[in-house]
Amino acid sequence: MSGLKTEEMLINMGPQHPSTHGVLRVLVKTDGEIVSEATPHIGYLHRGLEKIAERLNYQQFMPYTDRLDYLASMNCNLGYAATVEKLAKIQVPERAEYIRVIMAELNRIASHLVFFGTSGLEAGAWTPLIYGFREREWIIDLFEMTCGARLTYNYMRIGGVSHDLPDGFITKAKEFCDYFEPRIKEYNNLLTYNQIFIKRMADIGVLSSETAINYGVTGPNLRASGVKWDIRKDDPYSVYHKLDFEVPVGKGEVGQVGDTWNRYIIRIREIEQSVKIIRQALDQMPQGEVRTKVPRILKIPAGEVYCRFENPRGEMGFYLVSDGSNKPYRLKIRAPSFSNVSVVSVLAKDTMFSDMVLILGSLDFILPEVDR
Amino acid sequence: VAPQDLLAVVATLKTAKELSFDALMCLSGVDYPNLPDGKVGNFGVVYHLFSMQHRHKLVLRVELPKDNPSVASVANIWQTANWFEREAYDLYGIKFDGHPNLTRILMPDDWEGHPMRKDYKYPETYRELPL
Repeated sequence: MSGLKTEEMLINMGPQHPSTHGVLRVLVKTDGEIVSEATPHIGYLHRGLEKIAERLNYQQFMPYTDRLDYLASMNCNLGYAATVEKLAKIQVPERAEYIRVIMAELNRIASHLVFFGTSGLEAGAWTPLIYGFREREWIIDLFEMTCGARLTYNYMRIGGVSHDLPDGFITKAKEFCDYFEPRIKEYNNLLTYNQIFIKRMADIGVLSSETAINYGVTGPNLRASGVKWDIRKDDPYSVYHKLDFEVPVGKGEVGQVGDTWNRYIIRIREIEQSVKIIRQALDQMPQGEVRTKVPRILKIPAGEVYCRFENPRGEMGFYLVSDGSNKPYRLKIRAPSFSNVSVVSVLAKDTMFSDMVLILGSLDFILPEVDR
Repeated sequence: VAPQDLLAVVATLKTAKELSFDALMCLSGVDYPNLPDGKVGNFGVVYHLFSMQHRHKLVLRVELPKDNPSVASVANIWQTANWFEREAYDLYGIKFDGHPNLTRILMPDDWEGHPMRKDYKYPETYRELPL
């Protein structure tokens, strides 16, 4: 056996690949089955959104924020609208804030359901995908009733939301919550506590909390590493300070704190908390207007602001510099997946190749956000 | 903050107990406009820092001249800065000294020019294909 020539193999997990969530290219150097180095290359979906923002009015940029993270469009819409409103000092009516929160949480559930489906798919199971997408159809029906679109909504406007909820939305939303809560238990039986799933997911891709903070990893990935940090609780925006919910933190019930199983279970728990938030918001929502009048040519006084929001993937930040005209001077979008992908090269060292695919899935990034 | 003092300031900010800014939220390049009194505008690099322990935020801004923009890299202090600095280099042309791998990250590797600059002209062809 000592006469065998061994050398490292360079594998290109190319931009077109069913397991990278989008057009991500990972150059992997493997020694047999074990990965020695993995470098992600991004930029395949770079559309120059920040440059486009400098040409358009504030209101005109709203549809572009949908396409930033198409699985969580409402959250991106909310982020951009709230940043512009903060800089322009526009007050949003309370009913609009509640509608925004309900939409954002519904979108969080939808996004985590896609994560649930694709996690199962990467481990080799087809059923979670079908179940996850079936539940997601309920949510998408609710959205289609409201704004007419299934994936990229363009529902929020600067100053509120574009129009009021249709009749029957509240009953249907409550029906969805009642239907969905027992389903979560069913999925836990199916996948979460499944011994094969646990054996595949536990103890791989362990991300310690210092590395996570240093690399800028935020959102469920950071909470799975044991850090209790949720912008909805710690730096609240919109009406989150009036709503009561818990922040799930990774405790290492199965495997270690910060491994892929923990990242998975955090998102399942977040779905449960989101249902709780939606119920409370539906009950607390007052009557009233849904949009403040904003002048057509919206000029914002010169200044800058950085606001951050809790997207399903992490902390999304908008840094807006204005020079007094009706177009943004500089809009920087700090996407959560940008930092989440940068930690792949650390996590994927010395793991098996099939585990690396699971780690990529558990970080739950999405490429349009990374590339903008 | 002046560019040459950046490293010293940043090291104190991270380690001092009352400050302990251990998270870099965002790092962006900005192309400031020309001032009305005729001075040419600068590039700026804006750092948004946050402390997880004390929960306070800080914004640092470094202004760099347009003809040779270069500043020390903070990638060794906050690893998030690694990719953010690559993006600022790619889109603005700001060089970060001491960065382990300063290559283009979003644009194709053989692209010429720095797109986010205000005086950027859209190229006509790329590798002899018309754009």
